[in-house]
Amino acid sequence: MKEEGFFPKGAVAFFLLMMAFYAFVWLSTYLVMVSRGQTQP
Amino acid sequence: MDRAEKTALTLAVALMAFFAGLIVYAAKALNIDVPTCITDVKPFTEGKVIQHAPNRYELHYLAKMWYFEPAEVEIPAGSVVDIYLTSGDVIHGFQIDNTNVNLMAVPGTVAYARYKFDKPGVYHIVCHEYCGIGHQDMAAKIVVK
Repeated sequence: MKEEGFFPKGAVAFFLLMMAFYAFVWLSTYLVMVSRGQTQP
Repeated sequence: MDRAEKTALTLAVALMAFFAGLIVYAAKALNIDVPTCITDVKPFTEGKVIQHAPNRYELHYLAKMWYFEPAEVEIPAGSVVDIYLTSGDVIHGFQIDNTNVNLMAVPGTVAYARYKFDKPGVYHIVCHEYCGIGHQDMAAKIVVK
């Protein structure tokens, strides 16, 4: 039986936190690579 | 499909596209590319430093148990260096600390990378592939003045 007006708030919050964590880890590595300079000048 | 489910899928795909876009940007706009293994150069048997112009160098690194040849190279800041690497015995690693240069020295092949040394300092090179009892002492350096 479907509950009326149900919205998965917990799942959405968890998902957004997970995306933010992945972006943080990925961008940290990416910025280290960028700061280390050109390999094909 | 549920609206929240649809939004989650869209967000995940958008994030992956964003990551892929940044990688393309690094390669095309910032000239940060992956190293290459070249097949048209015969593996050499000795290390060499060749200067083509005041700020243009070619380094031939020979990796052997448990040293790199040449062990120390001195170049001026701003130099563009073509690095060729081969191995005289087993598989070795070649990483120049704090740079994007990270190669494998495989016997019978030549690995290649180009790097511009803008900042003065000592760049340590380490073997990062276990190659035997003296692996931890296998190092070299590039001094940028």
